[in-house]
Amino acid sequence: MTNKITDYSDKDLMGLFRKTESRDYAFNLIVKKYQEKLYWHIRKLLIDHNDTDDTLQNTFIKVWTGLDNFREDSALYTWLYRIATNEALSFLNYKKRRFLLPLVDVEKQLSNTLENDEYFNGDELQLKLQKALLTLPEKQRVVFNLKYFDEMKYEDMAEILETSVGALKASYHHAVKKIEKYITEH
Amino acid sequence: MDELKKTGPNLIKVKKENPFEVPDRYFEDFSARLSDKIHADRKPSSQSKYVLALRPYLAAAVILIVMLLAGNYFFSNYQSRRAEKRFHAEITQVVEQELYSISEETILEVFEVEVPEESVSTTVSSEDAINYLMHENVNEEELINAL
Repeated sequence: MTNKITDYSDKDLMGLFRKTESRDYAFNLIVKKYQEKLYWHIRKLLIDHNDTDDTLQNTFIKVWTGLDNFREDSALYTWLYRIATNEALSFLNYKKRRFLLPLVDVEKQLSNTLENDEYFNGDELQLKLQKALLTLPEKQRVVFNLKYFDEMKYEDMAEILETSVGALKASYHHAVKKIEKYITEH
Repeated sequence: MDELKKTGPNLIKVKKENPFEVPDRYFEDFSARLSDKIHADRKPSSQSKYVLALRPYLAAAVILIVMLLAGNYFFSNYQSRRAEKRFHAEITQVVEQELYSISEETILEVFEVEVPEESVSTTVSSEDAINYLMHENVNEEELINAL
């Protein structure tokens, strides 16, 4: 009888991974357990599906190569989120450098992608919210997404973003105010 | 939530549902595609096995080519410098010979210049003289002894 993915805790998965005979199987389980969560986390930052697909693959390739050295001093899922966040932010920086786009143009480009994206199915207010998010600095956008959409605890967020809980709370509070102002004015 | 009602009354009106979609069967196929990619990166191709075996010989060939090119560069530099020195020596010899063949009269003719009388002035005003003497700090006694 095959166990469901949800039957395995992160500790179980790491235990399976450390054994040579179950290494590939364990990694496959980790991918299946976290692929959607990480996909949506990246997608909210990058907007475009194809960019997100590339970045998600790169994330898991880094997980595959780095899992041997993962010391388990943080939870597996915060480590995975950290890699995914860094990959997404690196991709945005790469996009800026490759096309010589300054920050504002990247946001404009992502905003245009939103409006023309066949894989965006939100209503007018949801579109406005996404556009409002694009006006935030990248890291603040990450904080807002993790708190507002994923309802993540500040302590877990602090591990992912390697910053203090206080700073995160302040960042989220300011993000909400900026978004509220954008929605009211547009 | 209460705080959000205060700071974001319009924000909370926005539906929290995910507005993004994915292509059909995206998540079902993702792990298989990822596995193919990881294993493709891991397996060395048969072509690369040959490259690995030939690597020391390739390295030796590259070093030899670099040495030959460097040697050729320095040798041709040395040759061209020698040729340059010879050329300069020859030119100097030719110039000296030509100069030697020119007569004294010809040289003097070149340096003889007629100076118009008006341009030469032998008189100096007394004011100029006094200014000169003051400037040079010449005192009266020295002047009288000299005269």
